[in-house]
Amino acid sequence: MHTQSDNGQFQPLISDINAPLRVKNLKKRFGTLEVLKGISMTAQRGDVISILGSSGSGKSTFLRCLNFLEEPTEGEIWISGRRVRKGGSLAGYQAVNALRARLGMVFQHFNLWSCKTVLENIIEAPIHVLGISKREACLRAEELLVKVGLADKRNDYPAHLSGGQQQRVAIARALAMQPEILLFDEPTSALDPELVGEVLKVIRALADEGRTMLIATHELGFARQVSNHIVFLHQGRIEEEGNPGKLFSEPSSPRFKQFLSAHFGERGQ
Amino acid sequence: MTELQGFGDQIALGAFTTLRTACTSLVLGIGVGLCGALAKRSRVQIIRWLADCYTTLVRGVPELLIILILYFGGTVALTTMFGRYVEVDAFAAGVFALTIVFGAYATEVFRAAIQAVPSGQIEAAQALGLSKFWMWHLVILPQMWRYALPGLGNLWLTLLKDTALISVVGLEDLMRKTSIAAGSTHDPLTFYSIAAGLYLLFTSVSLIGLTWLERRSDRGVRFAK
Repeated sequence: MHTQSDNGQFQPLISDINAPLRVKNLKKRFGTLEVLKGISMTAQRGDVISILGSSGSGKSTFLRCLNFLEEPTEGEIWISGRRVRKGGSLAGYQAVNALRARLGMVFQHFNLWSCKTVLENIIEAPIHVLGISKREACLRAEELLVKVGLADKRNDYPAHLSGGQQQRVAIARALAMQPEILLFDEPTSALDPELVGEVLKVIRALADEGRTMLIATHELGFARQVSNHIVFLHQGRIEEEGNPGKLFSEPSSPRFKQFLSAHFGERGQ
Repeated sequence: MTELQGFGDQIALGAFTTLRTACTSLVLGIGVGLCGALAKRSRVQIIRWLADCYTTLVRGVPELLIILILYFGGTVALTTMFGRYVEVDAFAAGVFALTIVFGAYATEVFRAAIQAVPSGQIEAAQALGLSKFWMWHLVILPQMWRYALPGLGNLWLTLLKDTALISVVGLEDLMRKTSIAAGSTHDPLTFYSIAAGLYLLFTSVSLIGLTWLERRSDRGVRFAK
């Protein structure tokens, strides 16, 4: 694990060069509003990095920039040692599409395609992006549905599922692309409290498999248990980061202390 | 239909022409409308501007005038081009004019329908790396139908009835056959009533079809299966 939040001189370690994800000085402006003010971060294989921060701190924007749902204003993104750029060219466009296929994104609001069944939601991208046969895609999809505990729902439409079930399907849809990195954009924030557990359970199982994941979340307890590294964003910068045990027991930044005590009340250490 | 003082066959033929004109214009007009809607969302300013001109012009001028201008304008253009008098085929001219009109209104219907597709649906397609083609084919088009259908249904009914306007340039449609029959038998009321009945029949069947289509497009969205 090696991350760095200062601007400019960035000397990657040898192990960083081929890391699944390396981000260097990422900035994003919307008009005059600078949402990300230079974020650098490296995720090694098997890293589970939780990104914490209050609303507006830039968590979502950061994840969305990684797969170019928002185009970064400045900075570099390297996936497994290859730099990704957009630009206006067709080659740039294809490069971004290829990149997106390697990053699995799970959205806060699930974003399952309402016109397609659960199974169709999962198989379309593998068929049309990875080019595998429909039969194979269906087989894989069914395995994934078993994994997220929804094998019996394969022919249902998303509207017939609960929020938790929809999010589990969305995770299966992302996994079907066999991504190198999974990005979770507040995966449980839109769920009723009683449905949060089932989704966290699935994410935890994925972490145990050794998948590389970035999770923007408000579930501090979960972040602490599941991740090996925690990043606290404040106003578009990395305010504090480190391993969860140390970070939660001895937070150094006053803002992170404040954030923790707001979440844990009097227990905030 | 050998009844109706011998005009039954003629009226049936006219009704067929009406349906043929309307259906052809519908298919072509949907194509024009989709292109128009895409043009209005284009990144290229001049394309957006052209699309705006098209819809503003066509929606701002009476249909009858558009038909007359295209018919006589077409005749003049073709005559100039070939150096001799060319008679424009009434069916072709009619379909062309109705396509232009239908396309302009359909452009607006589709534009609104595309905007109504929630952005998260599109982001999910992008995030999975789907190309633009598959994104449209799998996600946007199937969903925009749902939003476009009620508007398109209205346009279809208008189109079906606007075919009657083509009779002014000589298309042998239901309207024209009826007025010939009405003139030569001196029994206008009977024949115009029959024509009205036939138009009503066509529109009613269309409405049933539309209801079915709307229900079908709601699959997966309605809670009751």
